[in-house]
Amino acid sequence: MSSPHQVCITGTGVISPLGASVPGIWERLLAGCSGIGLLRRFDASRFSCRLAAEIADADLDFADGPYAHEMKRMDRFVQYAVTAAKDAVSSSGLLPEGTCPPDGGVFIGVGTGGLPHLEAGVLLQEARGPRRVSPYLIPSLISNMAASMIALHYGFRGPQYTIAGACASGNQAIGQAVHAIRAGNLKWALAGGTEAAITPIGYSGLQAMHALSSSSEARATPRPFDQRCDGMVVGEGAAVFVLEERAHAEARGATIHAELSGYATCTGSTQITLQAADDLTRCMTLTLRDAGLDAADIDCVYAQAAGLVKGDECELEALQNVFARQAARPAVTSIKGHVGHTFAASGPLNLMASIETLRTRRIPPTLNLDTVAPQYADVDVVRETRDRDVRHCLINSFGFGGVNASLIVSRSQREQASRQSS
Amino acid sequence: MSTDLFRQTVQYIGEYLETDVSHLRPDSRVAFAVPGLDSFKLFEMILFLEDRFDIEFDENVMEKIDTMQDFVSHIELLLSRKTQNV
Repeated sequence: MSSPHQVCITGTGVISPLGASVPGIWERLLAGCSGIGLLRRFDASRFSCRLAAEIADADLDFADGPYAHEMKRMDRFVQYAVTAAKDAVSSSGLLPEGTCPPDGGVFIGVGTGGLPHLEAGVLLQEARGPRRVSPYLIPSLISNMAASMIALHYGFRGPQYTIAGACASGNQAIGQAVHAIRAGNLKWALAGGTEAAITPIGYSGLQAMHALSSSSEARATPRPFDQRCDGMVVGEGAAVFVLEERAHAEARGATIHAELSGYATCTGSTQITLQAADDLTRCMTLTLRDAGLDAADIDCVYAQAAGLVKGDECELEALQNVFARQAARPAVTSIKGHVGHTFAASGPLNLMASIETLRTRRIPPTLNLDTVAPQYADVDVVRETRDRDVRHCLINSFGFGGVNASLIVSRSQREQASRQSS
Repeated sequence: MSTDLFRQTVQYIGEYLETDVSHLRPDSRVAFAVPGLDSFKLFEMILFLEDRFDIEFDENVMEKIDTMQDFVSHIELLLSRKTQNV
């Protein structure tokens, strides 16, 4: 989209099953390390899936500063978001000496919100009665508290938004922030997604949908894009970015890591939880149009592919629709084999990896992939870590309810110019 | 009011708030002397003390409590009732 207000990324904060530092996570993604293991947070023996990609408590960093007492009582999705936001803000240099610049906003995508606290609250109420329920129960689990606690922690006085679009929430939150900056309504924003849904009731619901893998092999599960895929592994995490209007970032001498050049979201599915290839195709096409790019400009796709039988096939078909006619097809990868399906955090974690791909010219492998169905042989799925000069990455995320959202992240103009001249 | 029980109550309040509240005295007014004690913290602190002492406060107990001495005396009363019921 033509706008005088270009949107760039100047800060990144992440917490994931592979750690909480961008360099560490990136190294592990490239090395094909997996954060998936036996589920430890609760006794999973009664579930068909006993695997999860859990975050280590040691990686959490939310306790200091204002509202420390309240932060300890928040559900994990809030704690993850605040942990990621703190790294994003500090790495961006946006708030020197604890200052709070005006004109900023917070946009956080949340899928299931405080499902663990809701479940625990119900169990406590039934076991010991309503008067034993903590007054912090509701504030700890309502979905807006991720964005709210970030804003309150820093004393931001601008708008805060919570986007609930299931697994597309994070991409939508970042996209809405892009729109706000392009429109000139904000100079900067914190945007991203967070999820923490590893809880018995979550597993029951997903098991009832036959969405979980029944494999017990942590190092071979899930199998994104593979013919033998049999379901997802639940992951958790958060990624938050500082997005800035280019002129704002340049005026303060910030390091620009990449540009957010395209975003589109649309609705369409064949069932309430099943995507339709035509709608995914439309979403990617609209995103390309928004960025003013052609399919041939995309060098890499970070796919949604979570190891779901029908969902992965829909995405393959859509990728084939968009890119198969190109002479130079994009390299397609999925990091779900590394970190599981992190729902609302999925798109933002892919954005973090995309920025690193633009920077290092490397693409991590899709783990546990043996065979892609022959009808999708034209889709170039990355099986081993690949070196490739990448100008633009497309990031897909699709959620229950027919929510489709894609982003395009591009090398910064300065970086692009310097590479062309060299 | 038992001195040991007072000391124990102050210790539990400090444990709940994760802060030093050793300045509390019998005539300290609970609502003002405990730092940062807003209504949510107070309600949750009551639940915390119920678990620690294995007692159950009345629904509106804090409406009747002003000082730490009131508070500890009320806890003492509940503990004695519990002993009698055993």
